[in-house]
Amino acid sequence: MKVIIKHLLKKTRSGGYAQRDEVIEAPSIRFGRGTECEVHLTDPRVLLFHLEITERSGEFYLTSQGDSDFQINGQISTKASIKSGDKIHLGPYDIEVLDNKEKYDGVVFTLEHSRPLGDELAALKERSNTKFTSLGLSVRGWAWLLSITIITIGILAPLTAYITKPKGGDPLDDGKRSLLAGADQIWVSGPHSSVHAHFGDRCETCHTNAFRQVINEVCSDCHNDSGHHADPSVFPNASLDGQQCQNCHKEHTGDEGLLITTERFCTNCHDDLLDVADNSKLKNVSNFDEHPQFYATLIKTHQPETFERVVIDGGKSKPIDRSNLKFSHKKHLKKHGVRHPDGTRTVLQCGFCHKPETGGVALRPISFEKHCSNCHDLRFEAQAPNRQMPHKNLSQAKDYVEGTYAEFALRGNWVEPETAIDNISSFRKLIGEEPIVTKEQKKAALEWAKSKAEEVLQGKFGRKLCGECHEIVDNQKTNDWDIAPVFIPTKWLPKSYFNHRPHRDRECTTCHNAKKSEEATDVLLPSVETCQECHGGEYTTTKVRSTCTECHSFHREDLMMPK
Amino acid sequence: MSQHNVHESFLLYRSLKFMWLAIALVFVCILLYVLHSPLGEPSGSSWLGYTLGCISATLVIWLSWFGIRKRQYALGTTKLKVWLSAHIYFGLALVVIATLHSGFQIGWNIHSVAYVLMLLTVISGIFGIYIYARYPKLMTKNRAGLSMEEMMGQISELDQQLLEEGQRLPEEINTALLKAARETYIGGNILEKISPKRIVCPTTEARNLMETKFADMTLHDQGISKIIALLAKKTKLLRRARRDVQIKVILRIWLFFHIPLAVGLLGALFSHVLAVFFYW
Repeated sequence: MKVIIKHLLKKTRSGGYAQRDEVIEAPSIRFGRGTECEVHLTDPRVLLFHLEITERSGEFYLTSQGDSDFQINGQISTKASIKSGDKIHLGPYDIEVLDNKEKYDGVVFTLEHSRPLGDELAALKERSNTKFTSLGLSVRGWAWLLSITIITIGILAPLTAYITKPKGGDPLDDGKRSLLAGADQIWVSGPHSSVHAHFGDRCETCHTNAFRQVINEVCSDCHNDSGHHADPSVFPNASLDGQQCQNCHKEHTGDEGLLITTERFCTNCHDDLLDVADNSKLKNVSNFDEHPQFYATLIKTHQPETFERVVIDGGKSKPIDRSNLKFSHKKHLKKHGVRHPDGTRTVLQCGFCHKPETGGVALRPISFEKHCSNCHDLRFEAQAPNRQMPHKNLSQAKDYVEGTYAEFALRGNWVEPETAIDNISSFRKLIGEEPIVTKEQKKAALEWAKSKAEEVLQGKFGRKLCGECHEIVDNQKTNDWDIAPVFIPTKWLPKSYFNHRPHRDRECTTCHNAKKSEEATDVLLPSVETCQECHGGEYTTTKVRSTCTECHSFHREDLMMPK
Repeated sequence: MSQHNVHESFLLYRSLKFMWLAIALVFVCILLYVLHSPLGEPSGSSWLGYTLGCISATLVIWLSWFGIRKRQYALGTTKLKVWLSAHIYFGLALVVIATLHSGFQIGWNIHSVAYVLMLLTVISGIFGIYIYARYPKLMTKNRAGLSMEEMMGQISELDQQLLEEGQRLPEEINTALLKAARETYIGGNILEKISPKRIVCPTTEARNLMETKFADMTLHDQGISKIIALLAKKTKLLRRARRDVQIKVILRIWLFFHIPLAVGLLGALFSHVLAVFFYW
């Protein structure tokens, strides 16, 4: 197709236009800002390719491109056929189709840039803000702000706190401190264990040297009884010399990490101990279900004091408790009770004698006065029913008995059991009736008292009475008898600890077979099987989970501190 | 290459090569964590804890290096795509590895600050992946071939026409059109950019006025209907332009979180490492 464009360039003074004609021949005529368009329009409000004129069977059609449109005779449109006389607005351009077809042999139209770019676009651009470069600050600004804040809180403040804090203060001093002194709290990696929480905000108490792990001396300031695990001279493998406390004791994980309680820690060596310590006499153990039988540590001989360890397995080698006492639990725990001297009966429970100490861990010692004397009195003379021998030791008892008879002699109120009347008169004669007591009389009275005391102590209220509960020994030198010293152990299993308190809901006899024990030499400790009825290893699903540290301590207080 | 393919390729680079590498790394770390049974509580201070910590710290520094690598234009775009793919998958892997390193211990301290910043950085990164997978396409579609310059040009041209047409109409219309021409803007403050609905637009007001008060005059007066049509066109253009600004903001705004968080994380990471060894 062929088009003739009359570019109306500028209005002249006479009202006409300065114009320039352009002839274009092309299959279709494109209008737009793009250089490929046949009609190249320079106004920026026109699209690169805005409008196209095509010819189909002698008719001419306008089609706007993309999302654009145009106005034809005042109507907004995107497609239209054109005829001469049509006025078209194409953005800021006006096009008028002329009726000059014959003359020019093609479509003729005028093209005028009638609404040149005014201030509107510039004003719109100025009002609008389409760029996005900041959110208060630029990206870089925010990055700086955040990292400087973090480095200030995370490094500068704690470092200043470390440098300015006085060293070596009392960790328990709760005086007020500046806010800055606590700035290193931000470095705390986790909660303190409850036992160290009290100096938790004083990092310098333990962290004495920068960039150095907490040193052992800091720990041993307080914990100075954490001896070796095994004697390093006998078991060098188990020596803790050169080890750091914090290799095992991890602080800042609450109460979980401070003590290692997993049985693996022990069984690493103890499930095949000879591998690491071929001179050990300990039996192997892999968990509590496999725990070896208990061995009670018992006194073997008293003079000199020697001990033996005897297995508690109910076998032939019965452990013997050499306490030098005589006692039958069986008799005292009879179902129908024991007979009181006043004729009544009392049903005794274990707790009548065995009372827990305040903490509940162990039981209080038995005392004669509290637990035995209610039934077992130490009266020795029918004429002195209120007098009982003191249960302290034999010589005190002797003195007491002698004193009692001496008093009888002085008071003169003694009634000789067989020949009562004569004797009263004889003693009254002896002491009461003379104004002055002679030396001989005194001597006679004391000798009488002494002989009476001798008589008592050798008789049923003496040797026999004591011998009901105590072992009696004959003293070769003095040719006299004596009470064998009493040895009641407080611990039969000294390498472990046991707490009665958590077990208080059980009957005592669940573990201690006291009802059948007839002798004081019986060791009433339960065997390991008794414990295993309820307790299992760390991973048991059917019993109480119990690891080694439930009963055993890793460090031995009796050994020296590791270096 | 179309926008769609560019987005596909940074995630699917070489049949998800980096995804599988990252999964393998995460798998090995999880396996070690499960098999490792420290004597105490799991924490960053066991040998595995230190190992995972080293891996995490290396990843953080390497991931941050992307900010520098991104600007080394001379090294070519294909390689940058490889970097981006790896950046994404190892960034996601970092979440798992750093969590294992922490032994699931969290508290009010610099160590957890580093951990939380790491999480926030990765979350903002995931947001970025979503945005870059979605918005470039929407942007192209919305623009429909127009540039912002062209849209503004058309709007100002419409304003010219509207004022011309409005001259002979009642004063109320004329005033509204003048206000629409003089006070309408695109963009505005940050909230208006993100949510163009907040803009109180005088053009919309003028259009509402025309469509309610003067709608029944369209039958008698062609000028009125033309003004309504022109206003509809202007409103449509304004919506496009404002949506364009909105998308541009969305495409960029996540970086205002991702990058400062990442730089903050570097600071926190440094503080964390220093603190660990200072009070060892």
